[in-house]
Amino acid sequence: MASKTPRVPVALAAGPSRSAIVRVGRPLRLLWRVLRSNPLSLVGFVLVVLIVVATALVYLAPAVIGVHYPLNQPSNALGQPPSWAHPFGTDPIGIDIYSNVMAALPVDLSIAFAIAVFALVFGGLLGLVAGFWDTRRTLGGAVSVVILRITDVFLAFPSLILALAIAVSLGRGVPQVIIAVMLTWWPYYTRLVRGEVLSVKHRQYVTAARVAGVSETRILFRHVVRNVIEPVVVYFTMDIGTVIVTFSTVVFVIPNVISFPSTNTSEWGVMIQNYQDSFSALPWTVLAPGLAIFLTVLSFSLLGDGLRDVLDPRTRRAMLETRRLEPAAPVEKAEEAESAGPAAPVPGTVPDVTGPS
Amino acid sequence: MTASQLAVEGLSIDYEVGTGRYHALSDVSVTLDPGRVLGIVGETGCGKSTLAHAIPRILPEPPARVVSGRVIFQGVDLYAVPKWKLPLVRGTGIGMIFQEPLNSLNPAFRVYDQLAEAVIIRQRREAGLAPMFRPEQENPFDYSRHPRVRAGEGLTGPFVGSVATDRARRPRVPDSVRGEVLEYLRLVRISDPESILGRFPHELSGGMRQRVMIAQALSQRPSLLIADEPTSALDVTIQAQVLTLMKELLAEIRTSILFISHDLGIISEMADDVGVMYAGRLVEHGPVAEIFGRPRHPYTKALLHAIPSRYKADGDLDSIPGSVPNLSRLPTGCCFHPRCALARRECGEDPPPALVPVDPAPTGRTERDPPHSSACRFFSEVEGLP
Amino acid sequence: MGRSPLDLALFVGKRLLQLIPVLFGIIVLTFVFTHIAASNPCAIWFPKNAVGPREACEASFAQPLYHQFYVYFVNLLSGNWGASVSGTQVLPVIALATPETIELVLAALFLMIVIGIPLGVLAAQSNGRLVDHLVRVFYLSGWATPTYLGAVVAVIFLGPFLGLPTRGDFTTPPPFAQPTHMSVLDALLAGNLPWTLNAVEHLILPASVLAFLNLGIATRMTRSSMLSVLPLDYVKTARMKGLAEGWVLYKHALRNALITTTTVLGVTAGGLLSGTVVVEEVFAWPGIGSYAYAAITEYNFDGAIAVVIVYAVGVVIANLIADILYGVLDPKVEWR
Repeated sequence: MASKTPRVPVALAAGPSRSAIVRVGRPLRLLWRVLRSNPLSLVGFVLVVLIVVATALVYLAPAVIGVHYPLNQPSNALGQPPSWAHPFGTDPIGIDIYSNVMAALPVDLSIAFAIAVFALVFGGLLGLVAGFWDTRRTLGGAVSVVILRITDVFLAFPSLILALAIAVSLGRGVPQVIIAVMLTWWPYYTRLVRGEVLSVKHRQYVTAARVAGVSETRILFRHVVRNVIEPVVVYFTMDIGTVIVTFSTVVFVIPNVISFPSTNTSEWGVMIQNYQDSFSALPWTVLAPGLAIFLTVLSFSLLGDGLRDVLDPRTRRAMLETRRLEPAAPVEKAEEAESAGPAAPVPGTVPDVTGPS
Repeated sequence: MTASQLAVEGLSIDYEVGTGRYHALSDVSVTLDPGRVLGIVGETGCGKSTLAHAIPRILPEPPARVVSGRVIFQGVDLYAVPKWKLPLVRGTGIGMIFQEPLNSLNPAFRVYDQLAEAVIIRQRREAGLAPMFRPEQENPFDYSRHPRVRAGEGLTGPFVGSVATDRARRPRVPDSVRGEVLEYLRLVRISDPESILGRFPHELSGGMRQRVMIAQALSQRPSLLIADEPTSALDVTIQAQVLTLMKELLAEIRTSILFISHDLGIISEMADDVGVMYAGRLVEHGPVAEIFGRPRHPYTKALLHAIPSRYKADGDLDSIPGSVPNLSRLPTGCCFHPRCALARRECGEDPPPALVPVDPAPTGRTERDPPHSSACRFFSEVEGLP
Repeated sequence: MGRSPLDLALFVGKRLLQLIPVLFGIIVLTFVFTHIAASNPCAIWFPKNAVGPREACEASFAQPLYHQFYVYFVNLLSGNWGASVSGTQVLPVIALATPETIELVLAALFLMIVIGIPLGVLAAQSNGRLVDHLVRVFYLSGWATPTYLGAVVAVIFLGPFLGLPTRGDFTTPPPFAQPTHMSVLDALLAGNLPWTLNAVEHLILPASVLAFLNLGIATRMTRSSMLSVLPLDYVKTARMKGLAEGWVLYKHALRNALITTTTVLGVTAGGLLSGTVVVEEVFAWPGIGSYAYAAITEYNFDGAIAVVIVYAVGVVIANLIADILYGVLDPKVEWR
């Protein structure tokens, strides 16, 4: 049912892409479209690239960007505001804030990725199972229900509190916080993936594949997963930022959190907690790591938001009608969700509304 | 001679999208006299919908760009005023009904509330409580005369109308509004109007929805009604019912109608005058009998020829060779020439021909009929085409 | 048609029933977790050699886990939600603190709706142009700000700059009774205007911080819903009725776009409830956030479990309200 808004003729064809060449080129082309669509996405992308480069530099050649190991060396420059020698100033005993902030960059990023990837894989697998094999009165169905109930319980749990509780119980250290956040994060992916699987499962191409005699596992991996991946990846990109924020908040909140055993690592949340009392006198000690978190998360969010705009069929249609997006090449699949009437909730962006749906 | 109600002059509209610039309309000119029905016919993508939306200026402006032209309604150029003033013309001046009745009625509001809204807008304008389009005055879009527009009953009603209770049954509703709503529902031959007042659009059948749409548009008593493929989404039997209804209504009301369709049969039944569009251009225009009886443009002729005939039991279906051009890459010269049986060298080289009057038909023409004109230089040879 | 009041009642009843197993699961989970992780907190509770209480404490913790749970659960059901180390009963404290947090969350939600939704409409209207980008940067900045940073910046810079108070819900304890323990509401009920203003002043900053950090959810959802609604025919119909653009947007288009947005906001409300820990700490807001923080760090098991119960109930009820609103706003939906 096409709306009769006089529509620019665009060519969209149905059917998932097939050839290997196209498969490899697809994410690149997608990235290109995302960048072109919105100047903010471009900004986000550039920032993310800069962050990645900086991370690599800190790891491989720290001296190049002015990070001096070993960290936390007191000096004579006590409590200095930002200057050329100390771009982010120094703390009350002369430790260079800049080195600490930059040194924390690879740490925080890898932690965030680790958590997010764990949540994605673990939660996603559970979601796949729960969504795909949820026919009643089968073993798969029972497993699905169990997974769902457990997920519900975890979801009803306030994540910050749960993470806090776990971390405090395990010992007040940063590694414990990582585990704690991991344990609270996976349910969101389970619910997201399950929602997507449920909506994809009933689409015509899956039925067609079944009728053609394709085995269940092949269906799962070729058709279902391929189409579920997109919204999940979008969510993942935005999620990195959320993980960073949540993680550093939990670290900050734990009283007297124990930093890493090694003396040559730093972490933003730890820094903020350490310097919170001197905030009024030496604001840069807290602002520097805070702004670092802010900028990192903002970059990922800008990129993720732009990505989401491009992939969400609703906003994509709107973008097609303005100058900012070219219609998809004919090989790409057509996923125009015919939204007749009230905007239907896109599965995954809106959590599982189990009642009226 | 009455001035024409609607005069589109040289309207050219482009769509600017990432892939290019699509010439949706190129130099389109039509006129519509009061009380007449003008049918615009053409294939999908020929620009007829764009034309329909361009007249009341409801095209989405960022991708759409008006390159040139004017739309003169009741003597006022609608493109010479800022767009925000246009609501005054819409509704009581120009009304419109759309193709998909499920999409064109708000799914969140009940039938009564939507109809009441339309009625109240008209009532308030006629009573002087809201500004109205007055073409006879020097400033037709005068916002200053009336008191501040207060939210009428119908204008705030639907906010709560869809929640739990059914406002239509409450006695507080002023009689005149409810009475008019029922009257217009009866006008469109809905047998038990009270029963649908409290319903939501998705609870009605397609034919019923379209009748409600028509009732809604008519209840505002527009001078010009634009019907954009009003029956294309309906089953054939329902289609026939709705068309019959519209023809009967035509006899009763004095609204002029701009009827858009891709269905030649429907146009032949409904229209007094016909305009044929191809690739954003008007290629032929004239009284319905002449267009269908003696077409003077190769495209029109081919269109008529392509209709499957009941009387030809064998043989292939005739179609027009080639395909509709991409609107961003129009052919040089006459836009139809790559597919035209009459094409000569100059058809592809010289600028696209304008509409020229063809020799007047001898019989059947009344004084009110517009001249028959065609955009083909070789219109006299069209008759000889198979 | 599955939309009668009876259907609604059945639906709500069914969901509340579902709450019970979830709640039970949460209680078990928290109990097990806290008790396993720190099976002998007596050492922490009674660091000095207060032999008597410590021995009693250790005796009760020496019991097998299921027995401890049984005792705890029975107490719970009979209204005894345990006590903190110093003997303060948990339930009364929580009963006082919960409404305060609810008030804070409601205020934040109000701001999110009143500011976030029109911003989303604005962004959808000017899709792709500068205003759209500005709105996006605005709400993404809110999203990217760590809670602590935002709260502290507000306390240290914004509060003094705007002359707004930054601690507590009243400047001094108010002279009137507080039946509901929601500061603004109580002041209104007491008919006391100056104190009402005082309460509102105290509420502004923490609610604003909470709102700013979470604005993105409302704005983003509204924007994308509006973008999908605006090209639809009924928007054109509304225009062609002669309605001014404002009416078309806010009455016809937004009404349909709000369906998904309210659902998301409802779910967010549940999340907000539990996300107030940092804000309450920084602003010294007497809600369960501060209490939760104290309970966890002091190994106050009873307190921690009680807090978790409150949060879980809050989340489920928020989800339920979101589902009900969804059914109310979308006439095609039935309550099953």
